[in-house]
Amino acid sequence: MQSSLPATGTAKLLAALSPFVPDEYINRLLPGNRRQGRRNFFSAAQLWRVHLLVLLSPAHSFNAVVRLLPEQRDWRRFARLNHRQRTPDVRMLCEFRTVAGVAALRRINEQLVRRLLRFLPAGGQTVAIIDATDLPAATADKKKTVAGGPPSGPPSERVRSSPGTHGSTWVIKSTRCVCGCAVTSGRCF
Amino acid sequence: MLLIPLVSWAAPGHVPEGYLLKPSLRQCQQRLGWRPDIVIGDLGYIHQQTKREIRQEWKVAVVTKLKSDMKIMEPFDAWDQMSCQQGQRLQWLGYAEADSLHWFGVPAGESLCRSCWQASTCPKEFGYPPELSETLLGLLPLNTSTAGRLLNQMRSWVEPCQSFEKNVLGLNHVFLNSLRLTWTMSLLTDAVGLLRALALMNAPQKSLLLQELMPTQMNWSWENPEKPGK
Repeated sequence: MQSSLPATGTAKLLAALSPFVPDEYINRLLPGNRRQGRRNFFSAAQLWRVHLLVLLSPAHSFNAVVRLLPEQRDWRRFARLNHRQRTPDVRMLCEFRTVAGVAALRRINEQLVRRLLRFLPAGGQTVAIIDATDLPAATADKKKTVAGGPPSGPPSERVRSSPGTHGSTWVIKSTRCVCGCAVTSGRCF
Repeated sequence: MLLIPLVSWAAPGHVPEGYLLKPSLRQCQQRLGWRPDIVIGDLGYIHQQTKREIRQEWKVAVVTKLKSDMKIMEPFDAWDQMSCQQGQRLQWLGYAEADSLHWFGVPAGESLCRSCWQASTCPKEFGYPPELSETLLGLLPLNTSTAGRLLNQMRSWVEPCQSFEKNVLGLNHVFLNSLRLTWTMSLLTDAVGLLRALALMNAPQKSLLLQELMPTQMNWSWENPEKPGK
């Protein structure tokens, strides 16, 4: 028996994954907010799908996805965006993330996990593996850089910004903790 | 075998990962109404009190290795070996949930019992409570072949999954400038993994004519009838 998926970043993979997105659940979980007077052009499910494109396409940034969406028919088909010119902008994506927050994104994932748990064999043993991994934070603009070229003013001694304390750099380090489940079923390997 | 992301947390680097073990299981129980039977972790999840609470509250076995500087207590000779007072090696027989005892006995075959001066009075089976050592005993003792295979073979499977998310899905290349965005992207990455798993489980499976000749992933099986008490 053979079961494999197309490579990540291809249109075939987008087509293979698209039917499993719980659109109705997402739209129920995040109904549009019309109190501000603005019309919602895109449903929550559409915006969630656009967010997935950041990972499922070679463009690994929101800006790049937004810029390339009008040109990429397969991406628009995955995101259920019918009109070539009517695609969400970066502000809409940012608003969606703010409104959804971590809680709603978690609920969506739990809905997907529930679907997968149905495949568990009755009475079978399940094993979870828990581990943490580091994700690099974008701290390039926080690092101290050596000023180039000769100093224009008179030479001066280097002084500490706060006498008595050692200089330090502040680095945001994010740890990601993964808890996986091994399904011990003959069908799953 | 299929690995899926169950619960993810994004936290600053100074937060010990062991703090997230119990919340992860609580999340599984509360949100999914389900929990795994066994959790495998590295030494970051060795905290005895946490293991005890998880065992007592959810009956979940947390299996970790032993730290090199930790003392081996009687009746263990090494982390993977137990023997009686006269030096006969013992093997795990099972966990009796009714009296909360792990039972160990003499394995079949050659043994020292025939020449032991205490043979006539020896019960030949010895029971130890899990709280004697949550790491060495717990719900799944470390001297069982199942625990050895879980730690040496299965635990390392999580690393390719993390590598896939970071390199293939490009999580390493995303401009993560806040913890909130990191958490969002982590959850979206999990969503991709879950969608892939759903697609795999629902995909029609093709039978190839040369299937028998093709290399396949080794299957996991519980070779010995050793199961944690549940």
